[in-house]
Amino acid sequence: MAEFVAEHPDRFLVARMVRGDEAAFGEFFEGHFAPLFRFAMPRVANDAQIAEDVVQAALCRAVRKLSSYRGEAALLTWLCTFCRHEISAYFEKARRVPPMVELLDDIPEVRAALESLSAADRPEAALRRSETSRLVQLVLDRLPGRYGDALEWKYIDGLSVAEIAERLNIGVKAAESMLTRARTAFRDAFTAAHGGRWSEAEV
Amino acid sequence: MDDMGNSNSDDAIAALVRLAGRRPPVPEDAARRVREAVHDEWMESISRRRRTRWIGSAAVVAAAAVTFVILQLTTSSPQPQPTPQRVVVAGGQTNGAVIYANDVYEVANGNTASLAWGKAILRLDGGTRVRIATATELTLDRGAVYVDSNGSKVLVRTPIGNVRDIGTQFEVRLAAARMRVRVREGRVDLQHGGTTHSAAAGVELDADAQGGVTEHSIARNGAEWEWVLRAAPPIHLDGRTLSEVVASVTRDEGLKPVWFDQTAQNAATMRLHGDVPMTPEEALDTALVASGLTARTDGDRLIITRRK
Repeated sequence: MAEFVAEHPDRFLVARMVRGDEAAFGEFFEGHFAPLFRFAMPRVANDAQIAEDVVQAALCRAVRKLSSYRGEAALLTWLCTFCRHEISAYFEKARRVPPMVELLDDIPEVRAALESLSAADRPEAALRRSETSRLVQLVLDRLPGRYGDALEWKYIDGLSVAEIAERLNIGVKAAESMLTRARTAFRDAFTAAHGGRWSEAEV
Repeated sequence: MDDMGNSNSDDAIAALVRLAGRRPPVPEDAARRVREAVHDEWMESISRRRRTRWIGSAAVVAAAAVTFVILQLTTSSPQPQPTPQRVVVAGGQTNGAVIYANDVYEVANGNTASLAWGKAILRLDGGTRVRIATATELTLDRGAVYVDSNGSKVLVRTPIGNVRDIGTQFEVRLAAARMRVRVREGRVDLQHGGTTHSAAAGVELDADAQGGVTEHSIARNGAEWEWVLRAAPPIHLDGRTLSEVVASVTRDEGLKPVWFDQTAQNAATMRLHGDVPMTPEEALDTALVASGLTARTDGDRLIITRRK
């Protein structure tokens, strides 16, 4: 997959889905449901039932419109657009006021940085230390493929490279290589989103 | 970054990830319910798309089957049947059928058909009637055939004249006691009135029943060739490279592909996946979109570039 589309692998995933590739659907769901659910949760006052409903509605709407996805943005960003719409529709229908929360990924600069994963724009406001955790988790959610999982397994669960390789059903050398790419991707994305030299981050 | 820098980076990444902690898990039962619902929705959208695509083809297959049976009944003879010569059919609206020497194929007006005729690909326009003599010889009774001979040296007989190909793509059309031969690639010989007339790519020969033949220059793409594309067999992307798909479709369209920039050139050798048969236009569009490319025609060239 990655060898076919060097710049926008999501486009190829969607093209496979449009052609009815069952494995592509699996990749699509496994790779995007959890980040989208986590995207929705704080926006619906952490109500898991509402989050499930809006994410399901967003994904159903998205799969009906797959052929309109042109790859200008990452697939998760595209799905978040549907999710935002469903969240708004939910609160409108329920005649409820959305929770007044300001989320890191609602800050345009942060959103742009997360999207590009390589942008050098520094956010206007410095991020507060209390928000660093959320930013790290957002970045992990936005990393390609299983990079976020691999970093969590390595640094939180303390798995060895061999154990990670086994979980991913790949060779040890491939797992080492993947971890290196995951660290690079994380460093670039976090640096862009945090707006400073990543080594100066509040750790 | 040097080794020390890398080491520091890794330590800091580890610290950051630990600081953040594990991302909140999603409820498994919610994931299962949503997956089922979204999968159903996805399958329905795929089914709708397939139904739309195959309704037309199914109608043609049904019409061809009825025509075949009727012709078999009406042309049956009390004499022993000759040993049938099988010509393999692969793809096209008649996908799955088996044709034999001496069989007759008719295509209703408004439809098209595509047959694997020996090594060649044979396309039939609406209103066409052909009799298959052998794997390299047929008789056109009416309508039009388009032959992509693949070097099989086929012979197309007509009541007006016979067309022998010399490794080429060409169309033979009968209309009102006239015969038209249009050559898209390579060369053909038209045997007519005791004379052989050669025609190269981009040439049309117009023959009448009295032995007269006129020659014209023609475009190798455009509206006159559209029916050929409509009659093309479905394209399967799986396992083929982008350049193979582009070559196949542009050949059908009479275009020369131009891989304009480095991005396009790099993508040309990449291999495609997918098991849904597509029309040439769908296949080209899907393959280009998936590879981040776009294309435009410029005269007889298809310019392939990076999508902006």
